Amino acid sequence: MKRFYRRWICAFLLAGLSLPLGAVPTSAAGSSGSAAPRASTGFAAAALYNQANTFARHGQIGQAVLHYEQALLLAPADADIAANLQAVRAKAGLPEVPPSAMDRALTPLAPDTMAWLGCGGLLLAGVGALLSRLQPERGRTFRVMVGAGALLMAGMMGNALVLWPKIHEAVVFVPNAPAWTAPAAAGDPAFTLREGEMVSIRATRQRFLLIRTAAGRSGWVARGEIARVVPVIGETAAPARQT
Amino acid sequence: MKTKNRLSLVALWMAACALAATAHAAAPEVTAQLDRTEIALGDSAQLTLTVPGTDIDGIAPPTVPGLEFVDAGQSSQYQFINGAVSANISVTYDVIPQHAGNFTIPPLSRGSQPLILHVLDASGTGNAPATGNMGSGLPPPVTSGLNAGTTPLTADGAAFVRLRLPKTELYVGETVPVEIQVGLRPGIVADINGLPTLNGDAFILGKLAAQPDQSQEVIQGQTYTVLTWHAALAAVKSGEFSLSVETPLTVRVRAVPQRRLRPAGGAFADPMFDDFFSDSVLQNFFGGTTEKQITVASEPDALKILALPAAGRPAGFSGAVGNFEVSSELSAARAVAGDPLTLRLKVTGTGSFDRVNSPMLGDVAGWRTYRPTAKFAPADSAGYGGEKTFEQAVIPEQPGRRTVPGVAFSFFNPATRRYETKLTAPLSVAVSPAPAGSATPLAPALVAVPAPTGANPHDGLRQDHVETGSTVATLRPLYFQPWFVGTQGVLVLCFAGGLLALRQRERRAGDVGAAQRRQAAVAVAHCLTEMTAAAAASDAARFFSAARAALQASLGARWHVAPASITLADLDARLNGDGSGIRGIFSLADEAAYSGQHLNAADFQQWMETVRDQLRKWEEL
Repeated sequence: MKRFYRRWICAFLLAGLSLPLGAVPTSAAGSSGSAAPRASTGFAAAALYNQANTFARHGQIGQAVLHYEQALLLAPADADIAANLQAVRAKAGLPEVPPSAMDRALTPLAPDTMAWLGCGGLLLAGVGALLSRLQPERGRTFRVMVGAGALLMAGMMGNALVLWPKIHEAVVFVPNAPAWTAPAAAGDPAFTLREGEMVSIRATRQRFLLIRTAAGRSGWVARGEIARVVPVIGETAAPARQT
Repeated sequence: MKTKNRLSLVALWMAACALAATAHAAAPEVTAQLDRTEIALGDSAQLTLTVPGTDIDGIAPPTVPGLEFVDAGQSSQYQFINGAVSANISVTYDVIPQHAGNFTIPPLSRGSQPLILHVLDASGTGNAPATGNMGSGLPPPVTSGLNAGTTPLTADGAAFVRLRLPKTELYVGETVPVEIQVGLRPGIVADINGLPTLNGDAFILGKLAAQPDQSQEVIQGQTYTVLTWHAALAAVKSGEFSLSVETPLTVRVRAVPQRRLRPAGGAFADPMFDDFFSDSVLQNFFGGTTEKQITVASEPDALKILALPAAGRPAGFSGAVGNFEVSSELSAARAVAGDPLTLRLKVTGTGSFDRVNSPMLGDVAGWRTYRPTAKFAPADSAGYGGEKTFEQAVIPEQPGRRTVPGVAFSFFNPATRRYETKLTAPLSVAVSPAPAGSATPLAPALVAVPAPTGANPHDGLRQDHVETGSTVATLRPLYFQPWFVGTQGVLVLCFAGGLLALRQRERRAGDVGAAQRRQAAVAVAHCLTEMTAAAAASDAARFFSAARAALQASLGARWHVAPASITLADLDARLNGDGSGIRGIFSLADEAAYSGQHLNAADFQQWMETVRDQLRKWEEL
């Protein structure tokens, strides 16, 4: 009878692991929502960091900030990325955006690593719960498994909560991008955005995006003048411009 | 008389001048010039014929078997010197060889020298540039080191944009010189609305000059004004990309049908008038045009950007890609201990100077070192070549003959496809002791400057990272991707289902006990009936056997064991001597089976009651 239980649990674990692994999209098949070359080559923190350095050296502040932010998303603990991003922002006169202690604590690793840890935590907690019902005499051990799994899942959820705003953030990559009061470039702009400034996207309408600045001002900006930190499928990447 | 003679002399002189002028006009001094003396088959050279004046009627290309001369345009030069005007006119021909060999272009005027053109077989050159073109029947002129590019004319032939690249395979961080040419047809293109820009984010185009080079080029019989920008193109990331350049233009388009300008029928029906009436100048003269903004793009070029190899990467590699030479020098050969000297490192060559970086000297025994500064002096407008100079303040701490160690500089050479490290020679300096009692104060600027750090002294950025090649398909974290959330949901459902299945199983296990009890009750009832029948027949063996079976069925359901397997030993073990009544029945059943014991009716009735009491007792328990 015990052998039957073991076989059943092993089959369950294998099925549980094969589900996420089998569903992982490959780099070639995945869609980044950016330019086509991105989809074929994928994103890497080091490459994004190097590209950001190149943009920074050529004075393309917006592109540099965008690529640093993207690199930081993949490698949140990389001190070089944070230092260069800070240096570029300072050089451009942009306000510093230091992460809070809570943000730093909840983003110790790359988001995908946190996601896989959370997935492992779910497996651990689930198997622990099952085993505790099957073998009540070893219930304490299995309850520890459930607790550890729950902690890992909580870490993933905290990470997701911190990064959720980043999904909707964008970087201005043209100098003095006008923000309009309506989704049409008519009349005088309500205000202008500085190159490299971070904004959050609230809504989209045809060729315009409703943005909100760190200072709390809202306006409509043409799609081609800002680029999302996390590209969305169907949107093209920010075009390079000559320095 | 004298006056008459003088007049005659003047008349003769004027006649002589007129004759000389006529002779000059009949045989103009033609200056011929080839832009190159050696080309590959499939390539073209340019022959420029220049004559004084403004008349080109007397100029014709020479006839050389095996060479084709195609008119490529003309230009005029005027000079005003002290009120006098002199003019030259030049006609340019593309010289297209039909086969390999040496060709002699004969002198076109008296006293000039013949021109020799060597045409090499394409296999002999190995890297003959391509001369493919689109829309144009002529190969575009070839610039040294750059490919010809293609000439995609717009549908109305108003303009074209051409991108000329030196090669189509680059490394990440590599900078190459490129030419961007925008051809504008005068009269049709009204304005150029901005500088050319790149399509794609895998490259960075260096600064373009506000005033590009201008030239004339004839394509399909039409003269274009060609604006040429020389710039540096830097590859940013690895992969295969298509690269093109686009330029916004304002063109004039006809607002009225073209045929309205040409009178119908009559003497203008001849097709020869088509060109005349379709001429843009004439169209503009008659009005009927409107301006339209268009964007003209070059033909996409396929480029492959390779990642820098991880193998063999030097420790001090800062990301520079190109071909460089290094040298170093000290500001003085003699110094006093405590006095600052300036150590200069000069990096010259071609490549990505924005990535050229050197920490200079770090901690060196006997020297105090400071953070270096850097400055770049470009050798060309594109900044592709030049010299970058790093300056570092160093202070000898002890007197004596001191040596500044050599400074290493590493870069990746795309020509050799390898990392190279250049080391400067050590520099020697004679350091004399500081005068007694003089504590040499350091310059405030030096005191304020911290020791060398990991940041680039030129731009304040930390160095590039080594790219390992591991990538993710998207920047969106996994937990925001539907497939991952769905998978987690499936896992949660599986575990919840498993837990529910376990609970159901346990419930079913409880139901099995009840069924066993129901079966036992049926068996007990059957045994009691059997006992009654045995008592009526005075069959003691059968009576006690049925009594034992009834008790076994009841106990078996309670203990979850097979009733038939319950023996006296089991009773002793499980009841701990507490079931004397049951034990007696089990013993009597064995005795009656072998001894043939006889009981009267009262005994049977008593034993029947005893069995019923035991069954009730266990039922209650």
